[in-house]
Amino acid sequence: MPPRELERLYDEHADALFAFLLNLTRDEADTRDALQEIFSKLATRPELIRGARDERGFLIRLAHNLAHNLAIDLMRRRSARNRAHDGLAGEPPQLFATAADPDEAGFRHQLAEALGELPPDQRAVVHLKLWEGLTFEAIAEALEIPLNTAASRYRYGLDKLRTRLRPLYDEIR
Amino acid sequence: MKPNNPPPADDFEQHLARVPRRATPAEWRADILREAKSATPSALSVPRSPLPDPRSSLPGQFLAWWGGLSPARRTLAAVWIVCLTVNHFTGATPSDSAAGSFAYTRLAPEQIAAVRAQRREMLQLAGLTEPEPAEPPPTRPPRPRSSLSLPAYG
Repeated sequence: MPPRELERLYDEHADALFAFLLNLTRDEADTRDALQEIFSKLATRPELIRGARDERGFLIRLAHNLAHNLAIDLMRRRSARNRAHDGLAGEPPQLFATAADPDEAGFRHQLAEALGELPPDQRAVVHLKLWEGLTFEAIAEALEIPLNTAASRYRYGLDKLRTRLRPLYDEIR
Repeated sequence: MKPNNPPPADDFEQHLARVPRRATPAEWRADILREAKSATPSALSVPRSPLPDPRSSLPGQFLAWWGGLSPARRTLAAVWIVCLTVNHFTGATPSDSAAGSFAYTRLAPEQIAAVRAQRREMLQLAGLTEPEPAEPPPTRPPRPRSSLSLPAYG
């Protein structure tokens, strides 16, 4: 792939992929590795994305598959070490931009934490709907799931976030 | 619920959607692009020749199967394996075995005659006479069913 083309892809999609991967992996190092793998793959096999109808959708599917594989590897490593509570139980990753207002900063921190408590399947759909603005059709296509599954996962995930964060939201607004 | 037309987002949902996501660390761009450009197709896209899976070989498959058996089944399998091995190395095939057993049961006419002569001599020495062969029962031609007489009841 020509270097210019690769740079264009990075500039257009890296932020979205970074946020999605970080929300799924909950780990910056894993996110960095996954992002590297995506762009290395594009550099060596440009025909993959040239044949794609929707660049963003294709990259999100790639990122989702990588994150899924990383999650499986992580589970294996944990079971091998027989330590169930390292990593995810710690501080949530910084998913959102920092806020000057301490209340809003606190809300974003709580939001990142609450997202970590969602099952990964629901978290992926909630992320793509809320912060990528994708339609359920696009989400279903990107994650290779039925349309109704995408919609129900979003509804369940959002309900959990609401239950967890609504009191705080009502306080700060 | 129609997923294509979700209900309008409430204020909470809208507030969540407005929370700006964090940007990619700026220093990653140069590193990721440099590494991507230097990535060779052989390192990423060309599938590596797979190493032989130890389980794909016949002994590997056997060991995997053997390991999955319970002790009782393992013992039974071992007995069968010994039987089959012995049978294989003795060179006897099922047809050989069948022919061999037939050789004992089916005698040649001259052998039968010799056996009978021997038996007669033994009987003469013992002062006994050979029993007359029993006469076969008289064979009657089958009668038609209509000619059969039924016993009278009452």
